[in-house]
Amino acid sequence: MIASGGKNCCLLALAVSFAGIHAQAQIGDLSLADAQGKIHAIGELKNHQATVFLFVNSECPVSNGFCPVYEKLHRDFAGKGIGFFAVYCQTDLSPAEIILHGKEYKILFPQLLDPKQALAKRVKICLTPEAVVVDAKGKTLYQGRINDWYAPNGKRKAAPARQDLEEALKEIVAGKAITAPRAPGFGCPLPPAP
Amino acid sequence: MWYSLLLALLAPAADSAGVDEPVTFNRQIAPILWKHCVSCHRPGEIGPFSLLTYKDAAKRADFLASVTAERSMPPWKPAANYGHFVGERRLSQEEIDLISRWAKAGALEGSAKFAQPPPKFVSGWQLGEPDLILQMPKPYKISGKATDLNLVFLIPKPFQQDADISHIELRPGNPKVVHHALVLLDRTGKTKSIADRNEYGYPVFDGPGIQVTGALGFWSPAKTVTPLPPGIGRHVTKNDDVILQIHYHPNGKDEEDRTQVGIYFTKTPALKKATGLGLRTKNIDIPAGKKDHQSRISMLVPADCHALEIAPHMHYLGREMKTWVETPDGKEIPLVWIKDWDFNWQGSYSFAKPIALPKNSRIISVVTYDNSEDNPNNPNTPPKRITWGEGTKDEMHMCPVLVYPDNPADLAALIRISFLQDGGLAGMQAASANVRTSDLIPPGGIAIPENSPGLRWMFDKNKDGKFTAEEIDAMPVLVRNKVKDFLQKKQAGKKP
Repeated sequence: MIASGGKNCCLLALAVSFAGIHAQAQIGDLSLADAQGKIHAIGELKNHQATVFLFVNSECPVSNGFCPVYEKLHRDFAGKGIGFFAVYCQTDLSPAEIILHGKEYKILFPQLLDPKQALAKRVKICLTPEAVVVDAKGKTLYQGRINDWYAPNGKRKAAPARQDLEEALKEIVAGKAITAPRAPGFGCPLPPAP
Repeated sequence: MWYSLLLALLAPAADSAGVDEPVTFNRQIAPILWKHCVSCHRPGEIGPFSLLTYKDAAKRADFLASVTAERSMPPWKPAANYGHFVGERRLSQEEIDLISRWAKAGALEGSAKFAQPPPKFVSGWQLGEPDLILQMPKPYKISGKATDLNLVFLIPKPFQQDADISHIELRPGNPKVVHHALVLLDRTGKTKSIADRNEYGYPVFDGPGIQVTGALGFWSPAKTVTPLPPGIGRHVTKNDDVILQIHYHPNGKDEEDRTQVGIYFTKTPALKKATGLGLRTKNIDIPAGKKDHQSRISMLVPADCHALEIAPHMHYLGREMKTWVETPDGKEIPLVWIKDWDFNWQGSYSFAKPIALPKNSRIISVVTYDNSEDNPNNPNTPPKRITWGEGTKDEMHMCPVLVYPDNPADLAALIRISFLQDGGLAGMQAASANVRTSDLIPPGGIAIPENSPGLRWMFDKNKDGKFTAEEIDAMPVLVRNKVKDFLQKKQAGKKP
């Protein structure tokens, strides 16, 4: 049921992001529509201290399994200057299907459509679920897994022990440096870009 | 020319593409997916997406190539050529290479003239209408917020009379969340009294919290249902309660399940009853941080019998288990070898043919645990000492083997050996069995009472008149439990 594809791609991507940690590429002037048709200029995130992009895939059971965590993080941090977006990189998903997915999995923040994987490429995402947290200028602060429920080899623990994304958000809100800015994840690789 | 004709005849049917010819979905890939993947990966089944059509498969071509190359899909844990099982889901290297070539060359559909009609699936019960259908008394709501759930549902006394069962088929009410399930029997009424005290679907981690009196089967997705050979059955009585222990993997949203179990009785009375040889131990003590901790257990087979099925079982520290038989004439028979244990993909495996186990054969099972920080599934960070138990953070070493006696009269001997395995039913449940010996005695050991010269003679290895924890742990189970019971009572008596 659950698979561990795209490891090499991700190791590569991690290697790239480690190498480029001082010369971060920023999101820049990218605009994406959400499932309701509203356009978000995601390069301008000045309304929030930091913004979380949660890359999800409605067909990936690993990704879906984390939705309750998103609900909790949104509840805990939305009022503390943190913005939230879900990002769908599937190439053949209609806005209606995305809205239905959001309803079923209680995703209470904008669901962006990224069918050309433009945002995914800029922040070098290659699997779902993965979180990217950027500052108001679009610079990456945290990138990686939501927590350690799945080991990188795909084996799943009875329960997660470290909530990596939550820890990073706590540190951001407290104005501290992020202890672990990268944490390799496990999940479904992005569908091939169009 | 004859030579090339011969080669053409010998070439495997699947690999009908020459090295330069492009691999296509219609010609080579569809037959592989339909044979190995779509029993789960089709609409309405447990697989999260379908692989029935070209469109379904093509957009995941790289993914399919990568998961098949690393053999994480299809999920099949037993090592190749170590025991042979019914319904082995293992791709051949040729099939893996074809998928990889197909993905690399752009996942072509290919000519429609090679397209074959998609497979037809039996809807409903795979082996026809069951003789009796059991189901969860009412639907159960699974919260999307939960992590893994292991719940017990009791179906009280469903059999009107004593009977023999050939096989069962489990139909998950909701395949999206039912991950695997055990169908067990309890003749003691203990499960019922636990169920009566708890809310519907009471949670356990592993095992229903009692010593069960029998088992009807282990179900995991895509398991091939196998009737027992003619004349052989699993015996049930009208006093048996059926325990349905379901392991749910919540999927992020609220779901509901009401699972059914189809019961198929034997066509004729079963002269030979199948029973489980309970190969297991409670003697597990894994030091914190130890990477290669071994546990070795064995059982002497008391009568000629045949092995039908095997179910390796460990928790999250388990890395490898190998189980085999040594016959009295020194032959070695492989049973099962799991090289890369994954708690979430445990299973029960039916042997392709029943395996003859001569009397006085020894079944041996060796496992390796990884209690180091390198084990990403280690439930403790930093690692802690782990002992036997039914909880998430405990460990087990179990490898029950389903057998039937060659001579029906030997059934009792086969049942008895399972109870003797770990000090008998009483021993299994002895209060002290799960207490660490070192917690019962002072660090330097404990003086052996004067009135126990036998114990001293047999088990005081260094003849210093004291028992250390190591010396006590090395005793046979029955003696060890007696000694530990005594020490525990003594310790309890000392406390104010």
